[in-house]
Amino acid sequence: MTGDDLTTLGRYAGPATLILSSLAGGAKHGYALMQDIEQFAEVTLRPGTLYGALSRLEAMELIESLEGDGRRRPYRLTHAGAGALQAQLAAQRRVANVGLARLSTGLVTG
Amino acid sequence: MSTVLWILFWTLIWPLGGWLVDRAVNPRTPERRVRRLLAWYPPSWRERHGAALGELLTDAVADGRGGTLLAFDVAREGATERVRAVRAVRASAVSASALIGVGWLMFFPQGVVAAVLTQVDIPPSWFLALHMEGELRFLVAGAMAGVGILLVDRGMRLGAKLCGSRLAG
Repeated sequence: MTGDDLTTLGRYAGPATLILSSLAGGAKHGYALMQDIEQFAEVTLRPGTLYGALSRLEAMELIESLEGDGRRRPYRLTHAGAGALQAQLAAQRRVANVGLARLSTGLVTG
Repeated sequence: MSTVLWILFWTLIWPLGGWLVDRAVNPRTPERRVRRLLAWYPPSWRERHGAALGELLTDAVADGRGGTLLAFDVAREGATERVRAVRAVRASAVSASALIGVGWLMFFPQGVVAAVLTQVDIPPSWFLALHMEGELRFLVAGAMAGVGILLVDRGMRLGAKLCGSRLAG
């Protein structure tokens, strides 16, 4: 387990994956992140949870904040963040592949 | 008995009156609601992220998302950040105490006292410098005193920083 491992974030690991996936498409501020995540994942991240995850990701240097217009502060994915996201998504894909393969064998009863 | 009831009545009614006056003087505006929500977070966190979260909360409230679930979410996260802040302060306080304690032991007993005792013929006991031979005794005692001063200085600086952040908070 490395320092960039998203599983070290505990209950913020899920929101962190969604945030990094959203930022992979370009820099965004908080509200744009919420809307984007709702659109592609159909998950509503509330402001408290969103900023809890953002502050932790920033502390891990997986994202960085940019100078914004007024009080809004956009965030951008760092190289370390892109690597952490890739590792996390690859792990999720492995689990999804195994689950789907086992479901397709038709051993599910009831 | 009636006096006790009278005191009880005013004790209960006074905060209620204050609350009603506050509501009348400060109408329920989105800005006020956002300010109240942000108050769940510790000052150090608000200093760093408060403006951006405030803007997001303003957008969310304006967009009709400012219900009970939002208040619960912000309260939970704010409480989590407060616990984290307290833990960080406690860890820094322990570090400062350890630095000052170890630094003092190195500076005074192992440094100054050991340097003085090199002139007296006594058993070396726990004084590291006294276990050395010749000039090395002064060198070790001096090094102990020097490192001790550095540690005490670092501990004092950390302590002062902690006091400063507490006063600011």
